[in-house]
Amino acid sequence: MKRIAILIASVCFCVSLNAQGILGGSVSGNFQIDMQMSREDSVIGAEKVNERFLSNAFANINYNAGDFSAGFRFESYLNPILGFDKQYKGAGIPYRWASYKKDYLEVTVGNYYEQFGNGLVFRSYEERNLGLDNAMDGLKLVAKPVSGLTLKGIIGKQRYYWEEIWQTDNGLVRGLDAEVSLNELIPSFREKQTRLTVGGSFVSVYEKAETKIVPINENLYEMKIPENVGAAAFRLDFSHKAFGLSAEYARKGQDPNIVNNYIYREGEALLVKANYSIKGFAVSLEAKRIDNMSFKSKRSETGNMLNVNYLPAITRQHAYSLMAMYPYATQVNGEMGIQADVMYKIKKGTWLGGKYGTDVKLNYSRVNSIHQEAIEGYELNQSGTEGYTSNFFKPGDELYFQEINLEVNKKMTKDLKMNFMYSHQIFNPIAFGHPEEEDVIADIFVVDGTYKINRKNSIRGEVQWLLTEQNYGEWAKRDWLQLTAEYNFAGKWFVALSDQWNYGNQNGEKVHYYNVSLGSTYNTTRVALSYGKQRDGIICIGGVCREVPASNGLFVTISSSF
Amino acid sequence: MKLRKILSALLFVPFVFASCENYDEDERLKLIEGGETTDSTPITKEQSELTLLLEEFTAWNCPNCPQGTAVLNTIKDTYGENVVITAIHQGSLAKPKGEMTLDLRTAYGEELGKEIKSWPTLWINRDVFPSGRGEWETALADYFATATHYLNISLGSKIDANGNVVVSTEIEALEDISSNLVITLYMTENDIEGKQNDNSNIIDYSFQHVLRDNPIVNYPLTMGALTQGTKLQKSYLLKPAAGVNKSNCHVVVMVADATSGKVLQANEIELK
Repeated sequence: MKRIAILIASVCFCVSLNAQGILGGSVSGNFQIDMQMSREDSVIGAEKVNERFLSNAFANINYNAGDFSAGFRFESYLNPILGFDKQYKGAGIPYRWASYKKDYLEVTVGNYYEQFGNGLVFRSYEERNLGLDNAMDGLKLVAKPVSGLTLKGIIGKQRYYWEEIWQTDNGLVRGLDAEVSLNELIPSFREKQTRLTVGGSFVSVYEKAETKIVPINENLYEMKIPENVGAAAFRLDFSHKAFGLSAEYARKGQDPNIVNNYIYREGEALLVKANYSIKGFAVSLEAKRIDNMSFKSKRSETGNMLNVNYLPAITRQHAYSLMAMYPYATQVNGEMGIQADVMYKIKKGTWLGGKYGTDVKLNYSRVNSIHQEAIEGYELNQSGTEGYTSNFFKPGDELYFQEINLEVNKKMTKDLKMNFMYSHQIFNPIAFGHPEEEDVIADIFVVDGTYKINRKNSIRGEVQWLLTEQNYGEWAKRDWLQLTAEYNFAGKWFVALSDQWNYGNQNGEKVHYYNVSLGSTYNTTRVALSYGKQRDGIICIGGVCREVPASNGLFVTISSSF
Repeated sequence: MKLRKILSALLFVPFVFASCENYDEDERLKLIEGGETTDSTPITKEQSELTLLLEEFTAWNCPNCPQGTAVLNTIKDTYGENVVITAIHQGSLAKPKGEMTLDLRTAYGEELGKEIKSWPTLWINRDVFPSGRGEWETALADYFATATHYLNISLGSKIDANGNVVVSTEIEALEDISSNLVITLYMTENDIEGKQNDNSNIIDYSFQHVLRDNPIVNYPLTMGALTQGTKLQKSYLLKPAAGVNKSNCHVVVMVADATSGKVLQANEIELK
């Protein structure tokens, strides 16, 4: 009887959907599975994998019919591949949503990702390579009541692995964002070359307060913990012809938490970008200052999960593995830095430009700690106090990261392209959890060339060379050399051989991290298989980082979409 | 029309902006009276069995609360030393009014029970919260059947020359415990005479196990793993709240997981 009732209800529901034209939509999706088999290797520190076989997989299925859309994502971690948090172990549907647009309103229920401005006070996003997913579960409204004005409202809780979030005490996130494009709002400004957009956000997290006791000057105190932590940000984007300027300033209310050592100091962040771009030449400058801006929906959380905001890195993100060996990680408790990029295209037909022209990119970045002074009568960053005072414009004495890099990209002949890179990096080991060690100073060289044999076949060779005097053992092993050869054939296959050789290691074996890979791409289906050794290290994406343990074995990726 | 759309979209702005709180410097910290002390007293009450903490949220003007107390008395008769009972007088129904001039509420109890909406309510080890008093005995039996006996808390107590209470503890780990642990100590008082609403009749009443003020709450006990067989010996100084009759008091001691707040073991000792 129950089954019949469900069937009748389903039919009625389908008829109802059809009546609204919803069944005439389209379905799309994508799928990926990563599989890993790794064996114990004491030389490189690869640990034994008891399961022998590990896999991470996901599939998105989306339905779209006009103004209505809905979908879900299935995920499985059986068991999680090396370097991913074990709390991901399991399978299920952590992400499901439905959305419709009507009049000036767009309503999303269930899970969603969203970002206000640069994300300084709110960014919900997924970065699969970092094992990071802070998807919201709740409600999102986007209203565009008039042209040029966009209002967003969000409420919900953030994903925490497979936890039943509505059964936990994790914080409830509420937020509002308003953005006004003056050029769209005021009809007479629409065709102007000067463009101005301003916006503002406010986000608040409610989390039940726990009792926190702190010792201060030989007495014990119970801290009064704010249960509602608010953060606000204001931003503008301005452009006039080739010139552009954007800025965002954010301020966060008192938020004593484990990351800032339970201090009451309010947080603030400033991000300013300016750029000038004409044909063949572009320059951009960025500056950033962060002060006590860890903003999570659980004050006792320390990892990458439950971040309410996002603090972008202003250092260059590298694709070459030795260039990225010492990556920069954003210091959420305090940092200030600058970045400058200059891009110039040397014209064709000149001595340096040759027949096809030459692209030159110069990048400089430097990030320091912020100035901090202890509050009189207390230790620096003493729990239960304001923590410290800081001069906004004064950098701290500690250098976190500095890099200058030069890239020259040149098409030598019709079939040969070359890329040359040099980078000088100073890296503070605090990012690897080793503040006691002195800075790593590294020079890295890359030469990368691709030769096109014909329309469907090409070969690529790459040499990377890292030189440094620092040799601290596990995570800094002096000099490295990497050679890669790749053959792309028949328009859809590739085979590659590479060897990353730690020839300068003075504390252990001079290991060859060899790797063989093979793969194919057919329409939207891609299969890649690699076998070899992977060194341990850290990968960072946008200043957010994850440790990658050493492995030795097989790795297979299959992905497709429809 | 445009203006109406904008105004309707902005209607919920005040709710969001109200959702923020900051504390001035003089509001942030509350000095904890007492704490760890170098003074000590011999252990006189040793423990060797799993003992649960039963915290009953009650109030003098709650007509059903005497029935809850009756259930707890039955439980005490059944489980004896294996349960420690505390009566937390809390909420709007505990406010003195009319014939009842005695205020049995405490700052700690109010904070602890601030989300409680009905009385009596029972917490078992701050972990399980059975919904109605009819389910308390079953829930407790189920809890005993599945709970792990992680540690023992052996106790000694004395009243020092200043009238403060010194409690010496010996915590013995029976299992490996990876979580950080915290310890909470408070006083409870028996035989407090007052008025009670009993099924809508105001009667003379003798209150038992009443939580008193000035507790030591969530004091750090361990940072990092505690291995099986480890014994920790520490002493604490409690400053009795004004008006407390120490000769009718017990000190309740509990050890809890610092992250979840779940109580792992409890014990109490009579003040002498």
